[in-house]
Amino acid sequence: MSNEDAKHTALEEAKRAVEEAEALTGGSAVAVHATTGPRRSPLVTLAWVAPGTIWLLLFLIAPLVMIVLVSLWQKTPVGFDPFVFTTEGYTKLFQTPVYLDTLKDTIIRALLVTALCILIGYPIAYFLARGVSSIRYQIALFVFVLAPFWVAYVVRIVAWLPVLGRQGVINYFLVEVIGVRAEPIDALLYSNFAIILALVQLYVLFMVTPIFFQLATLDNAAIEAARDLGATPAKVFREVVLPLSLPGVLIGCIFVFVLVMGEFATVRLIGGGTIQSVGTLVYDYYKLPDLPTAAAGATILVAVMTIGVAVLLRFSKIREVV
Amino acid sequence: MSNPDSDDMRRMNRRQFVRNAGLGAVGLTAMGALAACGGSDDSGSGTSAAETAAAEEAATTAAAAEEVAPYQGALRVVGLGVDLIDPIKAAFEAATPGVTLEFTVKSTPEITQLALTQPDSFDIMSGYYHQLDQIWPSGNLQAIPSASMTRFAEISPLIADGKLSESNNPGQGDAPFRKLFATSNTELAGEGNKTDMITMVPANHNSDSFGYNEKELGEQTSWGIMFAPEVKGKVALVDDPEVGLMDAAMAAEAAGVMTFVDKGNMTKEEIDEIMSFLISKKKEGWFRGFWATFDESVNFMSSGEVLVESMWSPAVSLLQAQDFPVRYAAPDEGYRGWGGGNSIFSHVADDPSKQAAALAYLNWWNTPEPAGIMAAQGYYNAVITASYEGLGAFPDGEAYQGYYLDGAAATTTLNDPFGQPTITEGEVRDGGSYEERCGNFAVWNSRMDEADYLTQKWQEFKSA
Repeated sequence: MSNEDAKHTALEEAKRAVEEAEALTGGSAVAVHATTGPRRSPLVTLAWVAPGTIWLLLFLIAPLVMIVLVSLWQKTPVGFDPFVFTTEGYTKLFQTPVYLDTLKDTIIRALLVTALCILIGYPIAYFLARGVSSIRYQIALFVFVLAPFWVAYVVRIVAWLPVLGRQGVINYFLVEVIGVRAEPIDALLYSNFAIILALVQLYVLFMVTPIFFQLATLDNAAIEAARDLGATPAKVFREVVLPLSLPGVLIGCIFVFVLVMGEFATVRLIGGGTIQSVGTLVYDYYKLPDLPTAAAGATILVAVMTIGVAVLLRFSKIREVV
Repeated sequence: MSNPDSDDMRRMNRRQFVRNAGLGAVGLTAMGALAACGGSDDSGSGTSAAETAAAEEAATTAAAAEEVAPYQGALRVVGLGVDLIDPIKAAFEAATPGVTLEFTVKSTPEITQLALTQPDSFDIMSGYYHQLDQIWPSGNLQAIPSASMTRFAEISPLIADGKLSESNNPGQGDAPFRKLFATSNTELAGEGNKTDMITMVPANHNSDSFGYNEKELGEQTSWGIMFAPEVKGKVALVDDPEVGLMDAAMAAEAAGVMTFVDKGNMTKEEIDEIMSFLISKKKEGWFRGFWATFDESVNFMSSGEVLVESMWSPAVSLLQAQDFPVRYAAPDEGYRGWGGGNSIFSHVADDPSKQAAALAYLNWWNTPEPAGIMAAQGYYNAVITASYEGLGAFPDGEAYQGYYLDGAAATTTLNDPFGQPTITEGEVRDGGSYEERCGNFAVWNSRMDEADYLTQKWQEFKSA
């Protein structure tokens, strides 16, 4: 309801703006005309949306449908039998508590990583967007933030070993240099701690980027108005900047949550194989090969991710803010 | 008094006998001898008609085989990273003008999966004998007449019969001699049934054990070290339910935790018992990791994260070449063996010239050049004389033969097939000579009947 109202007001405002602009420029506001200009033929519209639609249908929707179908087919030693429908793939997943426990761990890990990414990513984005005035430096620093992505995935992961390992920098410091520990701490590597550390490092960028763009395009007039009205910097942030940047935070959350839910390579390598995620579990079934069970595991994962994203969208009411 | 059942049975046996005799005769005709087997009962005339037809067909095929134009083009091989290496590709292509190799490197389970689901994408499968229980029934691979394997008569008795000498321990599980022979494109012959058809032309085999840090642990000769108190938290297993469990099972047996009737084919109860033991150990923090790749196993050991782990022998050599104090154990309880070879996909038979080229590739593996390339990484060829000849052709060939096959100290620095020095002068191979290293097997890599159950339990173990 309030959504509709908001749209309504916005439309009316836009119309009024158009009228004002036309009055000012003698009815030749080109930019305005472009959006309200003569209707395009439906064929042209179709031509515009066709490539994207076909792409998504072929490479997103079709594979998803396929995964759901495979999850319901009968496993054979050779693969699956598409003429026999069965829920065996699902019952197999729930025969032992392994899948549910792993799913629970995966969700907790994803939420934790998302929260940490907000905590770490927001200040970075804020500094980039509001603290750096020159656009040249802004871009230079943003590219710098991208730096981890210039390095190959595996290299980034392997690089943790000399830092967190039993004979790594941190343990060396703790045991040899300051001597607060007699034995190195094993839990630094091949542990949940290590996985979360690596995931935050990997994905914080997906939080920084949308927040940065949201903050960079924030209307300075709103901030100046708040200041003029006597708001303290803290209040300006709380009442103006933060609410206006929330869509960026939300998009970041969706990115990070979805990526971490589906993670398997980092979990596999940084966990040293001792820790599972739904992704590694699905991969194990795929290797067997037990494709229906792997597909069932993937289907449930997709369902959970969709619910997660829906919840995020619902509670944040992103469309109202935008 | 004869009951109808046993009568039936006898008739069945007789008919089967006749059929087998007929098949034998067909085999003989194909070899150029005359069919001398006359029908003695009422089905006899039918048999000889079939014989004649088959003989004619064989003759036509033989004639066609002579006229087959040499194959020009690529042979698509799917296999393991250890076998499908550049020096092998280069050597084969140099020896066989006009034929190129397209290598697709995959892990063992992936190869099984591809062989089952995409048999038309490849011409040759390079893999292990223990994959055959799973792949063979699909009919995707061809049984090859043993007569068409050039050096069939020279196969090491270990591969053909299970033992190098009478006193040897052949070990449990899917040893090559149990999977080498087939009765058809879909049926394996089984232990003790040496037919004239083979599943894979055998190429490489080796004895695996575990790697350990000698500086920290001293010399170790028992799998039991994996569960000794001093290595708590510093043990890794390969993340493969079959091989990793086998290593853990041998360690548990050696440490006196439990025993198995057949480690190569454990019962559900045995799997339950070993898994609950492993899970309790994991919860104690016993295992540092489960490695999935060769490099990961090297990193585990070289970074000091583990003191003892499942390891492949080239990983040990790699670290030894860097003077890291790692040793490959020669366990008292015996090695875990593996054997592999090459098989031709069934569809290749439709193209006689490609079939001939594929067969030539399979046979090429038992020649000195590839055998030497593999032997310089520690692997043995099924025709062990090929390994000797291949190593002998290297500069300082005697040093290679001595170190890799005879258990002698290296008389000079030895290089791997990529030209990197791996063995320094004076080193002696862990476990000794070919006869010593291949004379004591506890078990071979195997596909168990309860493989699915085992995988499920392995996942429980990994996520415990």
